[in-house]
Amino acid sequence: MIAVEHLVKRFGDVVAVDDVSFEVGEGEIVALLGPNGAGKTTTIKSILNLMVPDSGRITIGGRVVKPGDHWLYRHISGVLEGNRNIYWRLTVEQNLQFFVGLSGKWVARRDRERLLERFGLLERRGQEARKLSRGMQQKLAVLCVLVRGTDYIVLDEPTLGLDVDTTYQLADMIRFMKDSGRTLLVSSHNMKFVERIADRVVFINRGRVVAQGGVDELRRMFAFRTYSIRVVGRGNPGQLFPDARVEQKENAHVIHISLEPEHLYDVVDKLRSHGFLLEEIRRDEPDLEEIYLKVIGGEA
Amino acid sequence: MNLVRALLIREIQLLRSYAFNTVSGIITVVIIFLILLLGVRYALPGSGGMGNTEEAMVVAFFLWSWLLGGLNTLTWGITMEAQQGTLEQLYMSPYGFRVVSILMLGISIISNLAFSVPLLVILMLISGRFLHIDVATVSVLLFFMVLPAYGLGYVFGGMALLYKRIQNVFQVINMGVVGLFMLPDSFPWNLIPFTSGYHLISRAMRQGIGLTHLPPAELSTFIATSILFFLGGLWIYGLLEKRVKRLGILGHY
Ligand SMILES: Nc1ncnc2c1ncn2[C@@H]1O[C@H](COP(=O)(O)OP(=O)(O)O)[C@@H](O)[C@H]1O
Ligand SMILES: [Mg+2]
Repeated sequence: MIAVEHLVKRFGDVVAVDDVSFEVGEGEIVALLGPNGAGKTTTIKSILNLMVPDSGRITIGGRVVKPGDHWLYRHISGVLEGNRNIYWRLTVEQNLQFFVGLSGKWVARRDRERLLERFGLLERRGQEARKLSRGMQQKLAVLCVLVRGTDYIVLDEPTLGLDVDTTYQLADMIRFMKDSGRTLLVSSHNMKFVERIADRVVFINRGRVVAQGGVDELRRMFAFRTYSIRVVGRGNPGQLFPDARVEQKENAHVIHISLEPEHLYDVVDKLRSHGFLLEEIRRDEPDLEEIYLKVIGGEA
Repeated sequence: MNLVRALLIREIQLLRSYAFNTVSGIITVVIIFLILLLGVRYALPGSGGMGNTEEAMVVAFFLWSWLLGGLNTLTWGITMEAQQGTLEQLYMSPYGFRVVSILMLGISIISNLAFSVPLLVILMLISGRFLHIDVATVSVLLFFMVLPAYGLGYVFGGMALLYKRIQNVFQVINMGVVGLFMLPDSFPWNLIPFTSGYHLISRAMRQGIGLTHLPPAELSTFIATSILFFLGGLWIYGLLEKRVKRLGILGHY
């Protein structure tokens, strides 16, 4: 488990991180979400012991992070934001060999090849990293962390500047890491990506945690009590509900309406009395993007 | 051992990538040397001191290139790693940056030699002044000569992280090293390992004095100050690094 307790970091007058607490459970993928300047990188660098916070406590697998404790890196490693994290003048394979060696380990050629193959870098293994596309460089950077074999992995904005395709490949890599028993903390701006990978989400804004929870739990928390009711029948059901938004779909209408659950019967009765046939009633679940906007958009 | 293997891979590859820099660096130094050599021959035609001056020049140029290699490995290395965004990755080694960087220095002796040895040969050929090269003696002296340069490299590397643009200051320091060779071989100047080391190596290379025949007091002062400079540099780097980590600017460049 990674536990962050009451983390505070100021830069002069700027309070970059202001009493942040959260946990990343064993084997979990937690996403750290927030706008630019929210304090994600500061939090991540503190966890990786690359920055010394003003106060607060961070534990990784029960081990308290102390300044200058480099043995920590037997347990945790990470890819930092925007940084290239790999050597441009080394080939794909040399980069892998270098970073695994940096952790005092070695990966047999066969395993290395299997890994490169799995993530579409095998044909590129002899190429210098600077000649790769941005997406491949990022995949390589993540692989270089993966081969270090630490139980905890932190990725700061790994999807920055990637196209949709590579973003999904990266999501696949992250699921792969989870499946091999790793615990991950990932910051990102890309809600689709986060929705795909995260077990839990921590929203952070202006250095404070503004909401956190499981993705489904958050959906329920932020459900807007909006229902989609699909009906078929003569005429436009919109006339019955002036507040609703109505869409025509093929031979049916879908009514989007906000109401308290106990008023749902009234709606159904009204529809029946006007001869509409009920095809489906669904409560709309907000996607992460909507939750994000609700949690952060209002303030930012 | 895996760590050493990894660092070797990197060093050899980077050496290959920057082979052009090595060659052009050697050419630059040779050109400067030629200009000075011609100047000396023109200014002091046929004088008895000419041979000595020229020999001193060969030794000074050789040692200078050797020391610059030592200084630059870290100052330039740390700056490069920070710019490339790989410095933090080096910090995330379970062995710690200290061990990683010291091993890197050890390995960088290869590329340092790849620069200085051909240079020495070229300088001896064009000046016609062939020096005594007792490999054991010269190796030991060169090692303790470069050690304090590594110490300074740590200091400037740490300052580069903290203050960013120190390139100009650093250029001056690079030149200043030669000035240290001119200082007399006596107290307190002999407490500067660059100065005492220069005089010792001069004697070894120009007069063919072996390690065991060099004055033990001078030799041990040289070795002791050399080690002290190195450890002092590491210590100062530690202080600078602490500050850098508090400011959260490790790897910012
Ligand atoms: N090393 C630093 N020195 C001064 N201010 C910083 C430093 N790092 C970050 N900040 C400031 O702290 C705040 C949080 O930054 P950061 O953690 O990088 O946010 P995020 O990663 O969420 O975009 C921002 O206002 C940023 O300008
Ligand atoms: Mg950031």
